[in-house]
Amino acid sequence: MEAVNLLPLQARPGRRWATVGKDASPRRVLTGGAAVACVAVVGLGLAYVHERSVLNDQRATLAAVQTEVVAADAKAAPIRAAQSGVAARMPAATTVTASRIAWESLLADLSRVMPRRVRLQTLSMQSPTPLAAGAATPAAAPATPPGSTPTPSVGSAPFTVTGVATSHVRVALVLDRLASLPWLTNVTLVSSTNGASLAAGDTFSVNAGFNPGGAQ
Amino acid sequence: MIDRINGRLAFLLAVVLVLLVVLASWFAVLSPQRSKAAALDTQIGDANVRLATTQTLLNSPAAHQSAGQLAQLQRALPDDADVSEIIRELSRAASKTGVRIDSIAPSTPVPSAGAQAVPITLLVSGRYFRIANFMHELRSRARVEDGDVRVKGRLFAVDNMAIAKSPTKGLLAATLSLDAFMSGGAAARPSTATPTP
Repeated sequence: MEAVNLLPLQARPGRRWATVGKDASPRRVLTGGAAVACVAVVGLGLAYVHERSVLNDQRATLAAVQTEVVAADAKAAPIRAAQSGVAARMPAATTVTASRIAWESLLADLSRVMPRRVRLQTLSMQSPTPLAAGAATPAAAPATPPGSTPTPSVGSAPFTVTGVATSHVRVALVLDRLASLPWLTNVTLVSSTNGASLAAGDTFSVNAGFNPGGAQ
Repeated sequence: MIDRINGRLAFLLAVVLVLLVVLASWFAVLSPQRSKAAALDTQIGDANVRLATTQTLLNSPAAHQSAGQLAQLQRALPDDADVSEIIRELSRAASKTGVRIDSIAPSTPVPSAGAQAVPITLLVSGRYFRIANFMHELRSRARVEDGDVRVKGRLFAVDNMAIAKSPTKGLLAATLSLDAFMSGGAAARPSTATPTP
């Protein structure tokens, strides 16, 4: 016996869309399509109006925020200028402050360790790390009128001292005392010479390495 | 003509028409508006961030202190050599500590420690500890300790020193290689001055 499908053609599996609109009037379908298109256009038009309104609100907000930013920037400009000025000067001030030698402490140390009956005649100390290393030496020291203060010159060694002691033993004591100073290294006797008379004493000259970091 | 097409084709045409209208409207009208809105949103966000940063700066106490700090640093490290002020400061320090300035000889500024140094050969005479006090006075005129700026005057540093006996009884003559600092830029005009204490 042969099977017979009693379902209408459009309802049979695999043929669902085969007859869609087959019986509809084309004029009605197109009119309906045009109506749907019109509704879609109206909807999109409304969406456009809404987007425009959002855009205008955003523009107004941006303008307001930018006005506030300009006002705040104007107030902050002097502070920013001050901060950049501080940033430009502070490293130099910090470096110089940290690199400077406390000469007064060194002079105080020196006076403390000098034994009695020893007189210093000249003293010269040179920083191992001068801050103005590239500086040109002044062409000439100011002219010194006769009888006025002479110009002491900086010695060739980092630390140089000359003086007069009552004996060579006193000079030895000077060497020991100088060697005890933490900011002097390699204390070396250059010379110790008997004076012309007993009252003149022995003239001595001492050189040393200079390490001001050891003073701290 | 409409009567010539069948219902199925009309249905397809209607669907295509609606899709065309929707897509054309979206890409031609709505999408650019939405892009503009998104761009504006980003700009508003950026402006708000900038405003917040600036307001944080304006409200921070440290920012307000920087003006005072700059004034102090400008005193210690002025923009130019200002040799006349150097002479005045050295004279004040000398009279305060009881030494006499015999001569001041500034040289051309040289770069030093991120600033400019005006090297000065300074001759002073006085007693041993007064000369030591004079150097302490120069050192304490400007200093920075733990980021704290303490300024009474110019930033000075002594590189070298030499002391010898002065013909004046009981006095010593000292030659100091002194640096007065300034904050880069203008160069000093070297000059020699012998002030009267």
